[in-house]
Amino acid sequence: MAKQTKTYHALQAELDEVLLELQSEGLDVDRATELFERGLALTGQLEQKLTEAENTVRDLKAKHES
Amino acid sequence: MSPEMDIELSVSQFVALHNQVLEYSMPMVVIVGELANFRVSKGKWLYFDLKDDGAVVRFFGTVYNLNGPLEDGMLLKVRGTPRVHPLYGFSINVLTLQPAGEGTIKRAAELLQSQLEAEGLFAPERKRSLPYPPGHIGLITSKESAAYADFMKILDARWRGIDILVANVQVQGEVAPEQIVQAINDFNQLADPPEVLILTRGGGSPEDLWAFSSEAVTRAVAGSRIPTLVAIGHEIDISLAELAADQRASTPSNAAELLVPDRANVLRDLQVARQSLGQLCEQTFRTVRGSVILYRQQLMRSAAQALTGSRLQLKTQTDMLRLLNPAVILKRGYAIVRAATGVVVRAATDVQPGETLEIQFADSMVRASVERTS
Repeated sequence: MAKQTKTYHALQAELDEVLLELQSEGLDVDRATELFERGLALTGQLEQKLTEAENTVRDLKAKHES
Repeated sequence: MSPEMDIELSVSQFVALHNQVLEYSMPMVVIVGELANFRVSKGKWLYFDLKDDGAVVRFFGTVYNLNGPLEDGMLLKVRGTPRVHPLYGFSINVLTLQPAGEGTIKRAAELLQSQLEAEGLFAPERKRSLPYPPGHIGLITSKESAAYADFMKILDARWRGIDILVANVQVQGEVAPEQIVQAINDFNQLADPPEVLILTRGGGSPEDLWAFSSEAVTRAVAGSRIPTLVAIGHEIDISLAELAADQRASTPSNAAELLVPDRANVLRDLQVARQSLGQLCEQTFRTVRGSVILYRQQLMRSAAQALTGSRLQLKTQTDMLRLLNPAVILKRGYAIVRAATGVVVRAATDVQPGETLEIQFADSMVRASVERTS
């Protein structure tokens, strides 16, 4: 999959939509599988972004604490 | 001389000759004696006698010669010109007169003080405050006196940068009152007058100091538009000029002390103020720095919280996603049934008997055919 440059917020929103649809009645199995795969991809990206942010904060904290 | 050699004069000629002789031999005299028969006629003409134990002499003058109320019995010093009036006979025309002797001087001052007090010249409400410090002053004194030297020395030690105009006057003697009054008037009439007038002299006998209790000087001080500071250096009695002044000082040095602040004190106060200011600044900076540190701490906390929150949310969503994984459902024993076309079969009505079905388990598959629908 190509690297997404969406914001954390946008990715989060998309994940919410995926989860919502997965819980709906009469969901096609194929569609469910599709959504599931998409959801996993999103959580992966979110995880990555979160880790980057945590690192940045840690670095800044170290830089400004004198 | 024989009678035939006598010159015969008429009465008028005699009087004229007599006056000539007087003018030649005794143009001016100063006589000290006891005042008697003092009277003022028509509000203008002055008549009195001066006497002692042995003799009495008549005097004639005008009210302009007066420097205060007089009473019979006072000792006066009178400067005048002797002459013989054609009709009224011998008298001395007054040029100046002033009280003589301590007793008289004191008495004259008492009388004048009562009179001027009644007029309201010494009223406290009239007193004005002096500018502190002044930038421009007028000094009326004798430049040769110790008073002048003392005043200037103290003034210079305490404060600098004052414009000083000096009127050099006699501070005792007959001409003193006139010169002092002139100086006061001259200062008052300047286009750019001083802010304060200082009238001062050192100590002396009552006679020496008389001018400062004379009517002319006292009225001039009271009437000055420029505020006045009078310092007559003596301990016992206060001169009338001092009573009339806006402010009085006990000595010329004291006058300088009242007039300007001490530079040393002012500098010291400034130093203290500067220190306080410095301390206040430091305090303020400390407080602000403290606030900044607090803000930074808050910022860190908020950032950490936000990240923690996001992580938690992500975990929750990931867990939920896993649960919804279709593959998990299959592991529980559910199967996906598809028709030959590959379309998912949800109900019996979707298929016919005899049709081929594909049954998908979690990890394997079965091909079957429909026996019967119900």
